[in-house]
Amino acid sequence: MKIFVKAINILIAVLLIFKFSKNKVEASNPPAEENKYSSILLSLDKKTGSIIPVEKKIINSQVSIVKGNDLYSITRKAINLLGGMKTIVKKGDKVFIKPNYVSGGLDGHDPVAAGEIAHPEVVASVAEECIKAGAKEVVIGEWVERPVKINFGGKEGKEGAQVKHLIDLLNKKYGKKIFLINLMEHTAYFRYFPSKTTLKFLAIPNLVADADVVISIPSLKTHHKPSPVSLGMKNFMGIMPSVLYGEPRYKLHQAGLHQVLVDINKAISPDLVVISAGFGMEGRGASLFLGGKSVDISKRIGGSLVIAGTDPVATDATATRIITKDWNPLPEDQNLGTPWYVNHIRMAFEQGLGTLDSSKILILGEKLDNVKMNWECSDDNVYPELP
Amino acid sequence: MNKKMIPNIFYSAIFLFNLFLTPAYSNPILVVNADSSTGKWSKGVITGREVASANKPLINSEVQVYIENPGKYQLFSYVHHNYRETIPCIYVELYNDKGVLYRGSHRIENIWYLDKDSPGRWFMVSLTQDPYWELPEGNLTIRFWADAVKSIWSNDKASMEGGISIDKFFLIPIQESGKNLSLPWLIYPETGNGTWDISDYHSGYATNLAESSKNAQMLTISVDISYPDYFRLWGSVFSSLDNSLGMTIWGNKGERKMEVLIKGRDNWSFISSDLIYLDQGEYKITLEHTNSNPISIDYLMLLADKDHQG
Repeated sequence: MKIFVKAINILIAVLLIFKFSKNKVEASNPPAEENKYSSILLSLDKKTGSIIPVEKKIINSQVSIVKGNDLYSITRKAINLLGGMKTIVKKGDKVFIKPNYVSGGLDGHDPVAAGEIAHPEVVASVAEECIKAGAKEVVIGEWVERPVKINFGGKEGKEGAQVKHLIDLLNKKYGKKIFLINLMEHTAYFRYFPSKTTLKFLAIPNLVADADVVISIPSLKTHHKPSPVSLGMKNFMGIMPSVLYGEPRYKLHQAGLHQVLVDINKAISPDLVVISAGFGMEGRGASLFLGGKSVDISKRIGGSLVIAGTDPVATDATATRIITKDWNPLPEDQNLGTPWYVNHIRMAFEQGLGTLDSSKILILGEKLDNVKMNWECSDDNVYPELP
Repeated sequence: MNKKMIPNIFYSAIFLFNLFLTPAYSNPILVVNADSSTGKWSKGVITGREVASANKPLINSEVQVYIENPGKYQLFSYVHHNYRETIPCIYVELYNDKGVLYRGSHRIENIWYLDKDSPGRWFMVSLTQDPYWELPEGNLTIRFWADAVKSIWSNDKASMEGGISIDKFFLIPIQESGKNLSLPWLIYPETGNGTWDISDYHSGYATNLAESSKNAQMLTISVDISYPDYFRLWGSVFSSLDNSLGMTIWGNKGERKMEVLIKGRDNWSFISSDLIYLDQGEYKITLEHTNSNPISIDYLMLLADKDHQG
């Protein structure tokens, strides 16, 4: 009988691990690599027979920085420095890619050159790496309230300035595996995930919540209040349903944007962040309309950048360090730096999503000091966000 | 048997029950026509929809609904406006004989991006401030009113640019499966593939839709079922003449066929299919226009229905 009970308990432990993994409530699959940023391990209490979650401490994170002129190839290089897409995407996986598309360019300007949106070549390069790694399908999407053609082509920059043209080419090459969608029109249901805010739960579209791999591709940007920067974690505001939270998600802002951002990232547990930095935006981002200023990064440092990492906190913290060279004040602990004064990055760090501590982040590729810039902060006193 | 083992077996049984035996649970949707309301909102027709409308701030109307199945719901509303400068807001208050249960609201973005001569746009919006409202069994009144503010971020009131109209209220049940909660969303026919005509913005009906005017035109749409149950397909459909649709839901786990007959009306109808049982998984819905009278579909909903349990 003892053996039977032990066997049942082991079975439960295995099933619970599977269940946690499936639901992505707290974390994704337990990591195979040491540089994975978070995980939930379960232990069996032999005295009570109950299952206890054990939090694994963050050991280290890697962030790759690649400079060059060909965004398509430096994106691939940045991913390869992390070990290649095969360490992230497994054969048969469903991948969801969230580029930052906001609503830039509605008035006819090119949102790519404006730095408002992720560069199409970065998005397409990531999608291709996913397919080459064996992904069953790659869905590229954003929740767009407005009629879809306005946002994914047509008025928005040059025809095809969005990623569509490049995706069509990839689909011709690999078979139709990559889909560019508006989440509002393709969501079947929302899954509820816990939130520490007054909202108690956040509703995440099923295509994101149920994806095997989730990738964030933001554009390198500063941002107006209430966040000094808009990078990999904040990019996920664009998956949130405006039908529930309003356009532009004012109910999430009312509930406390910083914790909401942490909660969304806890729910999704993004597997990879690739920051597009051919063009970026400084000042009062995140769009020209709001007062942001386009930055041609190659004119500042002699080449475009791609910044990538599997730890969203470390990746965002590194990108923040790159554009805030002379920002003040700084915390006493110089390993924390300017990211410490960006609320959602600090809170994500404090809540175990990853690390912002520069002493625990291994930079691969370009040396950080070689690519640091002093971008204009938004003029609405958004920095520092003191703890 | 060692008595110390009994708790272990008991806990194991509970775990197993939670893991495998807790059934998905969902109430049926409740649909209320706003033009059945009483109060100061006027009745009329906007882009072919029978609506309640207001062009003055803070005047209110009420609709009644009977909650047969208590549980967790989200309240949605299909709302039309043609605001270009300011932000229209809808407010609701749910009350019963014990007093006010919940209050909610939604600010809707203005349509600065549409041509000035367009007739506005329809929006499906949640009025539920919380992730869900726990509604008790019995009579419930939905009181509603509207106003406008200067911007999404401002509480400064603005004069109303025009009318705000409501077609329907939907109490959409939250699906519960153990501790997991989910909320179904609309199916947009324009995401389908086939021979129907797709309009990303139809200026006559102020919405995005799919339409067919020929016999045998097909439209195939992907759907995702998150848990096995009996389902009913609902749809917002316009057909001025009698019409019919063949509907096939198919996937790895089989195929279900049915026919939906639509009675011709001068305004939009909200139709529903028979019940069908579907396992969890990915499906396709193929709609076949089995008539040549013109038909338009604005949105569909595939929702669990527990009438079968009765």
